[in-house]
Amino acid sequence: MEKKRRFHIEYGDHGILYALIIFWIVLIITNENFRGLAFFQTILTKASLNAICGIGMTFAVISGAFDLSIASQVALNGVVLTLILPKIGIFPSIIVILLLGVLMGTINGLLISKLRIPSFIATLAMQMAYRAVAQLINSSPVVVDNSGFKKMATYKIAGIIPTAFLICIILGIIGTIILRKMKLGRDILAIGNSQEAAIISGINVAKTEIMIYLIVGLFTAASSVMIVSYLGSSNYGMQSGLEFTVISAVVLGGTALIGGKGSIFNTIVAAIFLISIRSAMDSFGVDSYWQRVVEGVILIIAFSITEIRNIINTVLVKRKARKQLSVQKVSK
Amino acid sequence: MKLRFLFPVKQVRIDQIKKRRVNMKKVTSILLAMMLMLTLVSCGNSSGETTSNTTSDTTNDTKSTGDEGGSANTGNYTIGFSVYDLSNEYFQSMMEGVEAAAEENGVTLITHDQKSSESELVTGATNLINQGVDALIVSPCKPEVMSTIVDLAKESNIPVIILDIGDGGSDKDAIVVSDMYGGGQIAGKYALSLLEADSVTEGEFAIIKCEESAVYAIQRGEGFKSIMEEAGFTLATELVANSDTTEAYNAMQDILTSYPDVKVIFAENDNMALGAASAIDEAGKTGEILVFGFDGNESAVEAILDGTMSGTIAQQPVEIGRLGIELAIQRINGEELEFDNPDTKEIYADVYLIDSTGEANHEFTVE
Repeated sequence: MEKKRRFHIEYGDHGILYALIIFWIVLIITNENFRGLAFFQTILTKASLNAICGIGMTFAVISGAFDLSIASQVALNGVVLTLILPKIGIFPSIIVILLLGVLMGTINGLLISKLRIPSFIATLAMQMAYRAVAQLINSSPVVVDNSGFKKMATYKIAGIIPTAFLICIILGIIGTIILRKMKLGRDILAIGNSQEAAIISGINVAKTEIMIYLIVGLFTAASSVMIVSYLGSSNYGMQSGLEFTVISAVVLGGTALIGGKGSIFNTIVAAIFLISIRSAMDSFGVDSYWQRVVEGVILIIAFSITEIRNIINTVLVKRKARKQLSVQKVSK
Repeated sequence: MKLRFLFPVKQVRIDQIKKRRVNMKKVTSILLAMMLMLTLVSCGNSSGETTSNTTSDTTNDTKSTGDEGGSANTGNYTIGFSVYDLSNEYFQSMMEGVEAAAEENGVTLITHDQKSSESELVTGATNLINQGVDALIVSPCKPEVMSTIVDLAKESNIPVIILDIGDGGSDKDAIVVSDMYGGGQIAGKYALSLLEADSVTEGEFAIIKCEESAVYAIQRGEGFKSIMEEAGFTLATELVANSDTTEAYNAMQDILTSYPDVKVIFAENDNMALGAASAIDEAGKTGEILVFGFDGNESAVEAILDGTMSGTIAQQPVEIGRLGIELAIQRINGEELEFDNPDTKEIYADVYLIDSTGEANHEFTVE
């Protein structure tokens, strides 16, 4: 019984998944463009790029913080990647980029845990710094001239599953294992619930915080590789505003901004959901200005969803209590 | 396992969440209701209102009849157009041109707004290709992405026409651009004539630039620079403001502090010129520093009439849009195109000067 309940707590909240499924069904019924496999492949590929970043970001948000520097990290990773790719080949480049991601994440983590700079300020500062470094390295855009690498994100395994999506799922599983099964994940959840309680119970908060940003950096690096492959080019100004898209996916996936709970699976689903809405609006020929309105409304909903849930909760609890009271009165 | 010590915290959470489990169904249903509403909104929109949709609606009909009878020679073509950013006047005009030409030629038009995001560009273009367009027209927000898109289009044998901005070295079918270098030269000549009227024959000028990757925008500045330097003026500085009004405002403030003697500012687009003009206005130097823009937006003409700007080079985005559709149809029909510059597959659209009276002025021309 105890076991089953815990299962529900950790994996139970699938509201966003149901919403996505219903949304897709409605789309398939109402618009013929959605009846082809290609359309969903495009959505999944694009969403995976955001979702991979989102996996890392989920850790940060669970701990009650967030990383605003990821878009600039992608830019720096991208610029370095296109620079070294022709020289050392695909796999060594990917490893270098992952290490670079770890390095940037560690820098963020050290600033936040050792120098006690609030994560908002530290990552905002590094957002500017990383992009400036990218510009210093190469201020002109580069087109990738490696057809194997360019095909990586969009290649369809067995003609059906886009590689980017498969990688996203694998990374999602790895992320879930870290979050649910490893001590690190539990520590992160504990810090998100209450940092004081975490300190009292002997968790090394500083070390865990560094690990959080290191994870963010690592997943962002993985995403950068896919993004450069997807775009077939890099530019120091690339992907500005990505952090906002990613954080909204994380939050729409039910991870509370105050921290303490969250699900990587839901983040991935929410990222797919957001991209689906965009593509759907394009397909229906929704006026561009209305698209912006809808996107704004969705962001508001995403960021207020925890509070909306709480309000509904209190109303329901009150009503239940009232009912019980009236029942008691009647029985008397 | 140290977490066991967290019992009080955890206990509370379990109880809370247990209650929430019951309520989650309601939350889910509310979410779904919102989703349905969203879908309804999008359905409602697709059935009319905007011009882009009316064209696609009417031509959708011709498409279905065309399948049966095969009537007009262009009637059953579908062309996809992915636009840079519709919040920019310039691209709104380009969209008007594309829509008008599509309607005249009876072409089904599917549009997409990149909203200045390069990944949105790739996704949108992929979606257009997936929807089976016969030709793809793109005004790319980041030209370097175009080679990826051209590769994708080539897989499906779809011709690609690029409108403005740049081709990023891609193997496109054609690119339509305004005569940028010539436009910059016209602005330079006009600036010189104004300075001459004030009997200024030497001094400093500055250029506020678009993104480094926008090669055509850079030519505007180069054209301006060539005329000014020839006349003996010196370039004080060139600052990149990424086509953005606010960034240009900041850049102009920097210029005012660092180079107080600057006489002329040339901004590579009107949005930046407006930003620069308001910074000059705040510093109380309106009239002392001449500001020139490029694009010929309505807001720039207003600024010229207010006296904060001195002139702008008008591009003809509507013409560019029209040309885009016409070239696309020619390519679908398998015709060869006539290029103004065959090496780069460039086709030029004319530009003209809007002078300090806010009217078109054709006195100054390209050499």
